[in-house]
Amino acid sequence: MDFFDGAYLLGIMMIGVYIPRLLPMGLLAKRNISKNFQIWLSFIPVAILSALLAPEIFMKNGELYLAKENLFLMAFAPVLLVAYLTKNLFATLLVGMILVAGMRYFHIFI
Amino acid sequence: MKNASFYAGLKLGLPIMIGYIPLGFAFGVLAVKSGISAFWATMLSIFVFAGAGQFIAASMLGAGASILSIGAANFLVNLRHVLMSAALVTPWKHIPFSWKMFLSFFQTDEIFAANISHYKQGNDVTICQILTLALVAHSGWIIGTFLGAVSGGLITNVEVWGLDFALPAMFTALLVPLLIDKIQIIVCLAATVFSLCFMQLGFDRWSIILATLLSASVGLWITLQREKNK
Repeated sequence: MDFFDGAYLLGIMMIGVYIPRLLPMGLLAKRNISKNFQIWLSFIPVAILSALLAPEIFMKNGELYLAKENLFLMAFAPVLLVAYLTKNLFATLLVGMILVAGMRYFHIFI
Repeated sequence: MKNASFYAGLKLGLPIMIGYIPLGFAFGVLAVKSGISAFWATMLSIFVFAGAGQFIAASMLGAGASILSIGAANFLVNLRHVLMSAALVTPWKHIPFSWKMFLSFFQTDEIFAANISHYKQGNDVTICQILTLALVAHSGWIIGTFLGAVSGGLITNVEVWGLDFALPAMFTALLVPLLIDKIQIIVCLAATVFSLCFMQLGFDRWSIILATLLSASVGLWITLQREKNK
């Protein structure tokens, strides 16, 4: 990655990440945003996370992959349970990674 | 007084820092694998500081996506921070604007949650506490990324370590606590179906943005229908 590509990626990502964090501090605090837009906005986090998650779990190389050999699919139910019970990012991540690595190591389902 | 705020920040920040080190490490390894150099991976962690956003960037770059579409995906996935920042407007109202601009940069999901729970327990809102918490947690993220990025070459196969599952696991962990009522669950299911359909149809990365906008609109529509029927 050369300097231009790196700086370009950094700049674009800073805009994408920083604007949502800063916006309410300046704008939303003073201006009234419409009620419907607020409701719509309240669904964006769930919508984007689900839209990102689904292909990771249910697809491989852009095709549906519903088989026991799909280890991400097999690990998904227990990971969902851990996420629900602990509400903890690090615990969920750890359990998920150990499950997938373990299934690969011991050739479970594959 | 200043001391108490400092220790409060330290106490809140340390567990997050300890969690961020392995998470940053995973990002560092994946970033190098997807063609981001160790230097730029570390720079991203210093100047962007977005867990899910950075993982998405690495995964999209690995899949050959354009940088502009990475920016768009980052913006959408971080829109959730609009709501979080909005929740900080009231507790932070006495903080000078220039400080607010600086401090809001550090409000990741975990840091935001720690701040809010600190205030909910009736503690004072001080710049010293917010800044200490932020810098302690951020340092873990940077150190982890750097270590992962420079040792990425040693880990030849990320799959053995389950590192490729870090991103879906992170999405799950962020998603589950947000499913607080029926409509949010419907939006989740709608986005899942839309996303898979658009992907199958070959919309590729745009399918995620389209599925997001469409399923949030489904949520709005259901909410409005319910209000009408009341």
